[in-house]
Amino acid sequence: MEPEGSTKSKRKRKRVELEVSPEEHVHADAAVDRISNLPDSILCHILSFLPTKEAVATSILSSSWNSLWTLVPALDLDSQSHFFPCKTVVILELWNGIAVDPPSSFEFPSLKDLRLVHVFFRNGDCVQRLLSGCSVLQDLKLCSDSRSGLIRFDIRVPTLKYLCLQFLTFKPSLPDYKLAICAPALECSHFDGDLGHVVFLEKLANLVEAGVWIDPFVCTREAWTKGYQIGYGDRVFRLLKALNKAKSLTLYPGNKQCVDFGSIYPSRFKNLVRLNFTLQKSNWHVLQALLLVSPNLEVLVIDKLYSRKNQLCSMEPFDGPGYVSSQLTTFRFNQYKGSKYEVEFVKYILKEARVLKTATISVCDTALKESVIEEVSTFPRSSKTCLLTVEVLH
Amino acid sequence: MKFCTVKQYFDDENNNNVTNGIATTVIPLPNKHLKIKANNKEMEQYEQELLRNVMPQELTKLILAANYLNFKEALDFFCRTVANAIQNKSVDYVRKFFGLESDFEPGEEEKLCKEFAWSFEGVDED
Repeated sequence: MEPEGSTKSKRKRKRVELEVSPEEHVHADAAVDRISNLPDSILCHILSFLPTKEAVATSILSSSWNSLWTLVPALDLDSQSHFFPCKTVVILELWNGIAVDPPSSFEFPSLKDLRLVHVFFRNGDCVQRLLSGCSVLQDLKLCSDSRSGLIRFDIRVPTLKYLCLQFLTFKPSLPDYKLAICAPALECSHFDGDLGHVVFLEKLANLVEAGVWIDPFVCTREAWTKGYQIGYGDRVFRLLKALNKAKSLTLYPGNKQCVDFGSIYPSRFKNLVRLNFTLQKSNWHVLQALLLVSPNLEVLVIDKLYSRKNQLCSMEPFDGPGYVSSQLTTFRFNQYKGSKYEVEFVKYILKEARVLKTATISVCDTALKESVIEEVSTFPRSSKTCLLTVEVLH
Repeated sequence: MKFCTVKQYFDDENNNNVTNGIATTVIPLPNKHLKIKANNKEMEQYEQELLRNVMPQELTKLILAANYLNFKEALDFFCRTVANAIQNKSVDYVRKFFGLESDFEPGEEEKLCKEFAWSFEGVDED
């Protein structure tokens, strides 16, 4: 009896103590005062003073702390042997200023989604060393710029399904990088920015979707840009050739004048069903050439992107019906103004697309709508079931 | 020290962020900081003093005050103090320090423990 009795009284005493103690008093009425209720940004600031290992350990404190450590901007990569063997990380995003230099033996065996956004690499090998440790990687996003230290590098990932590349160049650097990609399982490939030398080592037989957006490179007459300008067209078309199995393509081939484009589209886009093309005055001929080699196209969407500096490049006259696929069912032309080439183009599509179901022309200016309806409804249409719409989209 | 923020604080009538007591602790800090900038040992002592005299709750208020007053050096100092207080301590100690309770499902915590086992190496005795 005695031990229990004494324990009981001890407990009772303790309870009394708790009621009276100022510490407990504060706990009871001011939950807001607890450190853990500080805003995430401050908690992250606290964690940033801990070695990475310890910051990671806070993930076990409670569910709200579970991913707080991942918001800490600076990771202590000096403790490589601790940080890198991360067995269960599935998504990893490294960004802004982190230097990546993984040891040769490191692994991320569960990593499926890797995003490297403006990180620095000691040298080109670091990229592949990082990727080699990811045996199940499916999604890779690499946003890089001319400060990143990447001059010649590889991306070899046999499991990769989704690849998104973005390159920015800061003057006076030129986009002078050389990238070799080996990703035969790729289903979706996106490129955005300044195009250097990009080569695909294996055919992309599973490609479903591709996007290419070549930034308008500020083309000046300065000597240092000459090297970039030469072969610009070849680089663009070499990239497009590698993507020719795509079913869906979004393309803006840049604003370089036609004289810089070399041979166009040496291969056919047999699988291409959907094309979304961003048109400028200087790339009409690129659109035409692409249409010529896409015999199974069903959906064509044109978006205009005009800039004042753009010089007009002549559109080749359409000689014969081959420029429009016999399967085309949907056609859309955005930011239509009714200029000479636009009229010719729309006329041609309506005339040649025999199974066209919907044709939509959108104008930016409400005042233009009536005159466009009037003009376009006079164009001969070979498809009797084609629904023609003119709409206003600002 | 951002004097414009301090002025704003005094002008604000409805100021819940910084109580007078805290302001008197934080505002003299820059002077102390300047005086003992060259002397790390004294800063360490001050830090120990702070930890002993100031409850975790008070430290929270200090951090919020430093943040509100935009006083980076003080904010860094207090945050570093907290970080040093929990460095190398066990999960239970840190939970108590922060006033946290584990809200994981049974088994979830064990799983995390195993996955992040490498981060729990070398922990101090409580």
